[in-house]
Amino acid sequence: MTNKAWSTARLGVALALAVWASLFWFILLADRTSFYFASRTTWLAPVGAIFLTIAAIGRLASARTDHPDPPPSGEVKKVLLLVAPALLIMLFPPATLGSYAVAKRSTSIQGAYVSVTGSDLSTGDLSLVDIFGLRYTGDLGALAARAGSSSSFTGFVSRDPTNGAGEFMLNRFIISCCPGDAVNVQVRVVGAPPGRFAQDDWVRVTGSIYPVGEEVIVDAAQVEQVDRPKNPYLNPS
Amino acid sequence: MPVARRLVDRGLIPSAAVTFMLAAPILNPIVLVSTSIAYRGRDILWPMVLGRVSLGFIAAVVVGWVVGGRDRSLFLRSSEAVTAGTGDHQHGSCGCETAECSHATSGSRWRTFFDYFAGDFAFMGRFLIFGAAVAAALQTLLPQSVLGSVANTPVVSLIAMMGLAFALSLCSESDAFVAASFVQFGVGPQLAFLVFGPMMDAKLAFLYNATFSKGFLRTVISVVAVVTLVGTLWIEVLL
Repeated sequence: MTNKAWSTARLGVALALAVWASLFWFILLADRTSFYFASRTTWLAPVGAIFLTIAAIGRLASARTDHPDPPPSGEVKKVLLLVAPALLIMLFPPATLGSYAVAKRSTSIQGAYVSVTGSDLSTGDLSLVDIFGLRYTGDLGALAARAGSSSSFTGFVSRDPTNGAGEFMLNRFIISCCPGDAVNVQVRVVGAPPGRFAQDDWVRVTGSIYPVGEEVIVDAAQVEQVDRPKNPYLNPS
Repeated sequence: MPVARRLVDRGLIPSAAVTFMLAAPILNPIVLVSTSIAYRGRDILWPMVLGRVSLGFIAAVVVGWVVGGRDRSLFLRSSEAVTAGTGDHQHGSCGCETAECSHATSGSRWRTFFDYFAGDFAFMGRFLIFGAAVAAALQTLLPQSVLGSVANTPVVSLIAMMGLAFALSLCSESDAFVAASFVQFGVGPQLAFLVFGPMMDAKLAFLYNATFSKGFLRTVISVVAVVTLVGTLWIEVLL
């Protein structure tokens, strides 16, 4: 019979697994999945939570060994490195991509998403995904047919050098897997109250849409400040 | 990468393992479907999907062929370096082949499973975190708009998109949606983005560096870059 002892290295890994499992449980329970996952990848949160929990328990159960640990030089740092991102996400309020990201990421004239509603855009509200999809397919005729019709869009404010008084860019990021692959959707809002909205303010704009060249302009009839939506990112349909 | 590393540990020849490792992120149904969805409705749909599959396949096979004759010891870094900090060890180094060895595969299958799971998590995790942090910094600080000025410059546009793919470190299931949004670039540069990125990016660079020997890493980077460049240039000329 051998005498087994707790391995500090294995306990450290078990702790790291437990912290990451806690992160996934936290994201689920705090209803923050939409901040980190697209609609088609939300399954990762519950699966990650369950698997990492099982792995943490399993590692803890196998943490007693009959081999003496090597000197624990740097072990604490390694565990801290592993758990630091998870702790930071849990400790700080969730942030979303905003006007800074708009400036750094190229705002594509054409996007890579086609809305499934793209086949019937003759009536009803147009979404930013619809507009992006129509530009993408080059079916600007369908958009031109809606010129002057009224729609509502929700997004955050950014400004660029071409904006005049009473103008701003209304933005929303579309994500496919996670915010790492975010692509910006943007319309130009004109006729807004000058100076009333700051960068990164979330607003709902209602107005008439006009496709002009490669842009879509919204002549605002109403602009109201709103809270950041529960789902700050749009997902491809 | 953990799978390829384990396969080599268990005796698979390095060339097969590296071919598998490089091909897997591109040659799988999910990536092909997502690429076709990203380019649906465009006349370059088939050149993009088939070009990505073909070039991914060719690059992986060529790397495998180039490293084919190398010894296993020149492929991976030392086992001690790889397992440091995980609480695990290699049998070759501890000399214990008995049932009491906590690492022994003759023990509980579950115990072995958790040993491998925890070992890969601890080893890969820290390099993945480093790599992800670097990729996030590059995404945050590098303005992508600078690429627009080289969109119509042959060769340079290909290299620029390969560089962007390296910097962004996107997963291959979603990178086609980003590539497709760079409409100012032609088929070649977009393909360069889609072929080079899944095989070599900032996040992977940390993992490769921690896992493979320096010489092997240089070979992989060079061959993948050259095959991608030549292949996409050829497609650009053809189309």
